[in-house]
Amino acid sequence: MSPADLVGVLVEPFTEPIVQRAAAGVVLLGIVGGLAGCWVVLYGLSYAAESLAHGSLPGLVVAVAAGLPLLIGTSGGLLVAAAAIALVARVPALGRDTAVSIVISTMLGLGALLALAPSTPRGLAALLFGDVLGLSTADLAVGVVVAALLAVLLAVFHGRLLAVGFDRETAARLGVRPGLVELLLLVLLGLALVVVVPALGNLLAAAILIGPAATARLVTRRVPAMLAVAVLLAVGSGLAGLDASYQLSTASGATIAATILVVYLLALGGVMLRRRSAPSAGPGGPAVR
Amino acid sequence: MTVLEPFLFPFVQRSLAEIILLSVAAGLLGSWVVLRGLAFFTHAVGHGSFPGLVLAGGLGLPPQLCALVVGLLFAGGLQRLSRARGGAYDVVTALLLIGALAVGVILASDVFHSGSDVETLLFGSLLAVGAQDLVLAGVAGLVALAASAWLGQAWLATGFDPDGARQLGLRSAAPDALLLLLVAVTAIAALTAVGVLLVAALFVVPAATARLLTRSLRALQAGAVLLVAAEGTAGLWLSVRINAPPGATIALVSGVVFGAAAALRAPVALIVASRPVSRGG
Repeated sequence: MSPADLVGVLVEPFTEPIVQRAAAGVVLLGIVGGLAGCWVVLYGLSYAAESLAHGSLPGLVVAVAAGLPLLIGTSGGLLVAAAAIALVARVPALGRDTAVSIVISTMLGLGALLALAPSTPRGLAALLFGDVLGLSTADLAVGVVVAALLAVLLAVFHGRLLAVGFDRETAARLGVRPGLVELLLLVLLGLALVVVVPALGNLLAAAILIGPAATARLVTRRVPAMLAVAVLLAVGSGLAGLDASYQLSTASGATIAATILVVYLLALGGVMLRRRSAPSAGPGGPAVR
Repeated sequence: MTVLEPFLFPFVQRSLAEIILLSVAAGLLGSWVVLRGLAFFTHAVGHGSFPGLVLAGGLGLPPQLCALVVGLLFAGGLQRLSRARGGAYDVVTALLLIGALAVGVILASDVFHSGSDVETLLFGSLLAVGAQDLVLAGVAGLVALAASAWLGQAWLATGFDPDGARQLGLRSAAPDALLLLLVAVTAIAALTAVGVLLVAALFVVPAATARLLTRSLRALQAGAVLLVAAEGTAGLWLSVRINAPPGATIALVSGVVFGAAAALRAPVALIVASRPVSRGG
């Protein structure tokens, strides 16, 4: 096979209208996920991102059963899950992880019960694992609006997010209110999930938020570079995953998530190998922070 | 249907026995999960064994064995990678567990065409409980009991103050590794009952509820075991009555009990806190 043939084979899926629409969706997901994901990773909110996505299941199911747009269901579910986590985390003697775990298992249980009720039309699997190929024009329009809003908000609050993320106390002395900034970040995370959950499903949505950003963090320490690398990686692995799912006829959301993970593991392996071959850190040496 | 009729079915009785046996391991180790902040690890091991279960279903292998092998590989990989990165534990955990789900879905939908079995694996099934599950749950309970009695002091010491424990000469690595291993193995024993997504309903929520009500370790462990048994029984009953997977109903019941306990405790805490003030006034 000549290189030109190979390119032809790889590009061929994108001549199909349904794949073109999905590709447009994946580009939006990549922009939203890459941008918001960097701050999620920098603020150590990976578990929260993963769980909030899980927690939107009952909202999604109710929206499907009532014939409402998934967007409304996702945002409702996210709000309830976020409020419940905030409430349970205030109980003394229980850590945040425990609070997240309690709320999420309850929400998932409730969601599964609602989804398996006879009156609910759409399959549970599509809600859990997403349907990139089923994105509607309205979904894409919402994606464009959210991506633009997210980019503007992140640009406006960049300095404050940076200050609080790197040194909470100094930022507070400089007049930035850390509590408000963290709340803002949770709102941004919620915005991003509203776009990502209908496409990748609530079990896999966090992949595109955490994966590309974590990979970018391995490659660079500078935040602007990290944002750029994360968006490129998210869009790139999203499109590659979509292509692979078409060629291999596998589930699209899962293939995209798996592609993102493979990219991360390759980068992690590369970093670990380089550290091992560096003279300062021998094998069995202390972990480098 | 009379109230207790669900428990007359032999398959429900088997599931009931499974839950009661599991309650020992889930309650005892769940107390440590809550005290030591291992909720995310437990959650991840449950998800991590999902591809193993799909593989077992597709190839006709024993599901517990496959889940155990894949789950332990997953837990080991998680520990190895998170230590290598130093500090990125939550990132590695979140990504690996999403990866496990993605691989499981691809295997189920495109390699083995398992269809609706996926929902059974994710949320548990009353019918899936067999004799080997009961044996596994019983063994898990005995091991949890023995380990809690033998290693409880070490787990307590490192939990409160890892640096102090190390200075006192307690080698904190071995007991901690054993705790993670035990949590992983017993969580996998619970998979057929509650499914891969809802392991926390047995291992985190009841112990957290007990934690709200007591400060003593013994009472916490006893309370957690009793709560797992009671909530499991109620969840099973509900699951038969409304024809839903038991993982979902048990998760819902234990979440509601936690909410009720937290709501009851809040006014009590307020009264206790305000008492000196009212006496003084």
